[in-house]
Amino acid sequence: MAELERLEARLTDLAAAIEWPQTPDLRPSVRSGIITSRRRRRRQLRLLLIAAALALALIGGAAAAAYIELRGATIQTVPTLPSPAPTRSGPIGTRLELGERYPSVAAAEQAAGFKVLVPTSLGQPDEVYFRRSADVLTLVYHPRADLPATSDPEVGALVMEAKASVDERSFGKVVGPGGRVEPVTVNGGRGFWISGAPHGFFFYAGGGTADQFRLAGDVLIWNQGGLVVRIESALDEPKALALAGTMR
Amino acid sequence: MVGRPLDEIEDTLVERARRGDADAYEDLVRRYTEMAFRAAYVVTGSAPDAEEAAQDAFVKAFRALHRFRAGAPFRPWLLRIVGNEARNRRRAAGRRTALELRLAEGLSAGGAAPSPEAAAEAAEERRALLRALVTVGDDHRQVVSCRYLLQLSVEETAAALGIPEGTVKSRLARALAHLRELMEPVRHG
Repeated sequence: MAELERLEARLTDLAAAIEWPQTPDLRPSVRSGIITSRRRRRRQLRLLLIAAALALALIGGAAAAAYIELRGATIQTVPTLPSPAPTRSGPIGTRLELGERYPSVAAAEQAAGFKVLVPTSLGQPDEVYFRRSADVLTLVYHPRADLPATSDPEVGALVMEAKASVDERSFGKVVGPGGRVEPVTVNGGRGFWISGAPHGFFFYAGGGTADQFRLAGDVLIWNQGGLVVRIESALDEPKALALAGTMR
Repeated sequence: MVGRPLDEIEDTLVERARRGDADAYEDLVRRYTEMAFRAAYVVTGSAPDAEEAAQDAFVKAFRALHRFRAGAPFRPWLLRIVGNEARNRRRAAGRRTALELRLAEGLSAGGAAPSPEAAAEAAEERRALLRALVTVGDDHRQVVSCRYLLQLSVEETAAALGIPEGTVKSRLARALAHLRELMEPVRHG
């Protein structure tokens, strides 16, 4: 027993003599970890709420719903639209959650890994974004004489493009009461003109979940080449079709 | 299971942190960083892994504070999270880094200044004990390190190593017996 006690005493003595690696100050990294974790949780909660609202709307309208699928996008009619997510403040890219801004179409194409079409009648866009989580590249045109402002006073037209995949969708549309979905042919490709009451728009995030559900104005959406393209503007159908006709 | 005497300051800090007071939680982090980091180091054997494990454990503990039972001892609860993070890192790293422990230079025994001979003998004894400690297996070294080098209670050691308290006691008894065997030649040599 005395042997054991002696060994324990020697271990206790050893404890005071150990040179441990220097203890880091963890307070800054813990603080930032907590902030990041809170943001992630808020985002997850927001995604869950959007997904739940959409699911309810889609289930509620299952009997009467029309479900249209383009390559890379879905359009669904429902009896009631879910509430949109609160609009963010900040510049266009932040408000509409378009992703990272790039200095040129070419730079955004390089990040996206695919070539996009540009409406030659409008020329080069004023702003270019690429949203990696949904693989959507967006050309932003500010309002001008031939391009009236949309519900967002800083936006004349949003041209969104993504690779048109059957397996992976980039964005979805939910059309409620007062909205119309008419089939159209755009540059030889299948498309739809969505007009009337504002409809719901959302990006498909990872794992097929919905993100950034907002209300959108009139939209022309179609498949062209290997892309799904949507133009959101305040133009009427003939003008929107004419604009789409200049996509090169 | 008997916890440490309840520390009123700790209880107050935990309660404030539970209500979302970031300053109170920062005080807790400062108070327990050394214990958490060293416990993680005992498990991982790597200082960078231990730092990451302790950091992530503090973040996870903050998120889990609402599940912490008011009045319960905080240290074992935190050490359980630290131990889990440290073991996850050790598994993910896919390596078994041997714990490296060194003696501080120029350390003298406590109390009155010893004679040079006594100081040299004490230093040699420490070196021998440390050599013996790194020779025993991981399980034994971890339990001895937590219990004696970090001065954790049996409950805290069990929490940090993710084993029952009974296992801590039995493993500790075997580890001490092993150390005594290893030290025999030193004492009689």
